[in-house]
Amino acid sequence: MISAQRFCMILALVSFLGFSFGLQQTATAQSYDQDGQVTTSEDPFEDFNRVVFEFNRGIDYILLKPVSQTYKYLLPEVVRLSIRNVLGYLGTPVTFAHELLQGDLDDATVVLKRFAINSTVGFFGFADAATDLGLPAPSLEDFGQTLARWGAEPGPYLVLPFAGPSNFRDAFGMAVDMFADPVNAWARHEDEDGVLIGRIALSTVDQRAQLLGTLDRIYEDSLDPYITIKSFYEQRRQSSIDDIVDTSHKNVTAVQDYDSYAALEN
Amino acid sequence: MLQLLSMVFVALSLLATPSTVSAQDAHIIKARDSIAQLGDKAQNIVQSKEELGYEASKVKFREMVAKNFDVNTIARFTLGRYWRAATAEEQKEFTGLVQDAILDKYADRILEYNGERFTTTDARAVNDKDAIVNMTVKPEGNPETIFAWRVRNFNGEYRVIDLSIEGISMSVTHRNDFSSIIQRNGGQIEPLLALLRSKKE
Repeated sequence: MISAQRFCMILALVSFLGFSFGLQQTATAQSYDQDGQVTTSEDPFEDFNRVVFEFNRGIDYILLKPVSQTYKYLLPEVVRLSIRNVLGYLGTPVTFAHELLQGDLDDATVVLKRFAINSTVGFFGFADAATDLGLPAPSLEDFGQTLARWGAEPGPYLVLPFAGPSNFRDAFGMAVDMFADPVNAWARHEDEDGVLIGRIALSTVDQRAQLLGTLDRIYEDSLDPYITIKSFYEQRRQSSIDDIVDTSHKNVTAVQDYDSYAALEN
Repeated sequence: MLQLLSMVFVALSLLATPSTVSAQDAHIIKARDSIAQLGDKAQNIVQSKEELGYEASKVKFREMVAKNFDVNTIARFTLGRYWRAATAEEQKEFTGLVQDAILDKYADRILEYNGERFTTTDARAVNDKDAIVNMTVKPEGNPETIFAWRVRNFNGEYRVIDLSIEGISMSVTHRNDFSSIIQRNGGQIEPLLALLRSKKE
């Protein structure tokens, strides 16, 4: 069994080196056309990224997708939902910390209230009682988003083995979050590698199971799946950073800057 | 003197606001109505899928999308800066392929869902021609998703020019996809057309 602690340390170190490199690269991280408009972010590691992308697709094909299919087939929806609730509940401290670091006191309050309700009425996170009581979860926060709010540039796009699409900022953020997470910290302290690995595995399978049809269609419809996934990631991350969903959870307050693109043709 | 000026200013702004607000409001209301109607139509087709038969509902759904989406604007946007480099013939074929290989696919994808509930929520104006209309879509057994439709006023008729799902714009994504194919083929448009031809049914 690999030492999860060592894995985290290596990941953190690699990400940190990458992050400082990423900061130096920010000046060239986006490409501009003749009108000075941002088109898409530059991809200096495209060749490397494409290799890792294909590697991840291979792993997905032989392992992750079949496991996720079995998971979805074997477990009734109510059980899968409880697992998803617990995973979300365990992520509360990290999201709460980043709401505070981003100065979003409204959402921090909602996260805290949800934690109180779900710890008690929700029986330690198995049921999302808070949502049923009209307190749905604000969008998840992480260190990558906090860094973005603080003005850090994403740096070059990066496809991580197993973890998938990222960039220097978000990879560094992910490593820090994994290290700082209280549940992980407890597991490291108690030498409970199973908890660390089990949590990562379960959330990966849970997320993959939700995307079973979607990902197939993306691969089928897209002309260049690598570019499509990259574009999805970058747009989705920007939406998460900007917290585009309003408090009613029925509307978005911002969409892609269509006009800055459309202006290029005129 | 200052007081008088500010009073005049207040009076003028009071006079000025009602007309601009109502024009803006009318724009937002029309935009929202166009999507609400589209949602109702979509829901009717999805619900009558079984009695109509899948093929017939597919034809109906594709017709609805063709009528309510502005394929010319979408084609021009997704080809980006290569639009002007393309010949008139290439532009024409590309626009047809966007219809057949992209918009028809969307129609089919939405039709595939079951127990879908489309609820139009808020709308807001982007400028005097464009507006964003939000819609929540609740597929059975899946969490609610927010669709943000960008509609444009074409001489009083509102048509869809973009759709964002969870903050991901379909037009921007296709634009990136297409420009990658063109760039990887030395700036040629023909290989993109060939790929799109292979994608249509």
